[in-house]
Amino acid sequence: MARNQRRWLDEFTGEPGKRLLRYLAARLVDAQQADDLAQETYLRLLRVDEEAVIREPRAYALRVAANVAHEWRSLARNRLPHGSDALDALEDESSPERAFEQRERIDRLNRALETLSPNCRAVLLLHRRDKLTREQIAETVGISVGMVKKHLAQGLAVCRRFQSGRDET
Amino acid sequence: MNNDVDKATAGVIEQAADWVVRLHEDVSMPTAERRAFLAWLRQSPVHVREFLQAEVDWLALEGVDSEHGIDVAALLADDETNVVPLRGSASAPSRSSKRGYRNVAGLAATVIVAVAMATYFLLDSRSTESYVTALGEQRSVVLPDGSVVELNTQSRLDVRFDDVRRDVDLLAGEALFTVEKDPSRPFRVFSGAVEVQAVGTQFNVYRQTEQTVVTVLEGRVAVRQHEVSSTVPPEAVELSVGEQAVVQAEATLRQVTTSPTKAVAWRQRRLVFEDESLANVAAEFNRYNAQRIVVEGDALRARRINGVFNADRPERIVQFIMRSSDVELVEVPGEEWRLVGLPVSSE
Repeated sequence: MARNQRRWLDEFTGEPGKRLLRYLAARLVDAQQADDLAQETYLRLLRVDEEAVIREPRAYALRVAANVAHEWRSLARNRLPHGSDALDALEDESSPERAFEQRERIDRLNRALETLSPNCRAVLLLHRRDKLTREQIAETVGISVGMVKKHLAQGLAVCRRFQSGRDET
Repeated sequence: MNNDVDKATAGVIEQAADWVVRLHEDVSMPTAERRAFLAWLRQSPVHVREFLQAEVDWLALEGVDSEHGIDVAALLADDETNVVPLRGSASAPSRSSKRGYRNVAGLAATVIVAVAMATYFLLDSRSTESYVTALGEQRSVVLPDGSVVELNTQSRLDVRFDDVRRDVDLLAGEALFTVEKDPSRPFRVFSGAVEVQAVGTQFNVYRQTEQTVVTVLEGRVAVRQHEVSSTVPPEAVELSVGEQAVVQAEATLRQVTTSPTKAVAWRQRRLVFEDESLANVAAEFNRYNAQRIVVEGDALRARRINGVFNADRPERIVQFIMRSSDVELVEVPGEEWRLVGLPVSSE
């Protein structure tokens, strides 16, 4: 078990990549599941020694969350009544459902963008869609780098808030 | 519409977004800031949830406007002429955007969102929210105050929160509570006539037919047994870590020391028995599985069992019992294992 888990985590070594985040994204669609996952991740973060994770707290937190999700899936496999085809379908990462969920998320973000102020929307698009660095954006738009960060954080927050009505249950 | 839950998460979404943007800077973060980030995560499960959601959205934002329909230059020009004030709070746009979402998502989604929001808001207007688990199901629930309840199989919980109290009714089954500190609102769990009160602690309450068992894992709790006939408030027994109170309907409260890990082994779906009667062992397994274990014969029902078992593998305990020669097994697949104790000639 422990060795399998390590091997599984090895796939995500280094900077927690997009693959890990996509894996997590699928576990965060359902509000109840997201709450459960956050709860268990939180408990594990409480237990860990601060000095051991302080070099990369973000990477660590994301790995713990992915780890929890993975463990639960293995558990669920053993736990559910026999012949649960629904579960097998759920396992498939590249299933049409996953693709659909991802498209849905992007659709919601597109709609959320429309509620942003033009400047904020422009900065967010330049950074995420067009891959400009913060410094390049500051130069292009004619604002400070600090202001760019402010716009990015605010834009992301509005995107999150736009969806929080459906996140909360 | 005004409710504390919304206010409580309001700041968290903004904080999470702020952290994610800072964490994704090219230059690495100073140690003090990384420490602050970890401390923030460790404040509440809600922080962790919003961090995860923000990370996932931050990545997904790469995919927005994939056909490049939005002209950034035009946006910037627009902003210069119109001088749109920066929004300090996102409350206004979020309300209109929720409407927009409903329109697009169609009727079914509208109903789901409406129901979710209704229950969400009603929580604060002193109404009751119920949580139920089916046979074999376990789930954990984050309550509006950030407290967390883990529900074991076949359990039912009613939650009533308002400005002055946090009351929870355990109507059936078993639950583990991790309570957020809030000195102005006591957190109380009722299991029939038994009242358990806590301030920032972790404890397990198991409501059985004849009795309620309260186990403290962290902090202290007060346990009271209310009597229907009495108007005098009952005396409270204080429990601390590792202590357990067994409260029976017509008897005095019994206080014992126990292993907290044993009391909450159910979270790992393990059943731990120490000198337990087979009748009770069967009842424990039957909380988790559709195929029930039935034990017949007084001597067999009273047989003592020790050991750790997987709650999802009742066949193991049946095999274990069948090792003795004085037991007969009748199995009706999907329904029951009937263990019949045979009369013993001499022993």
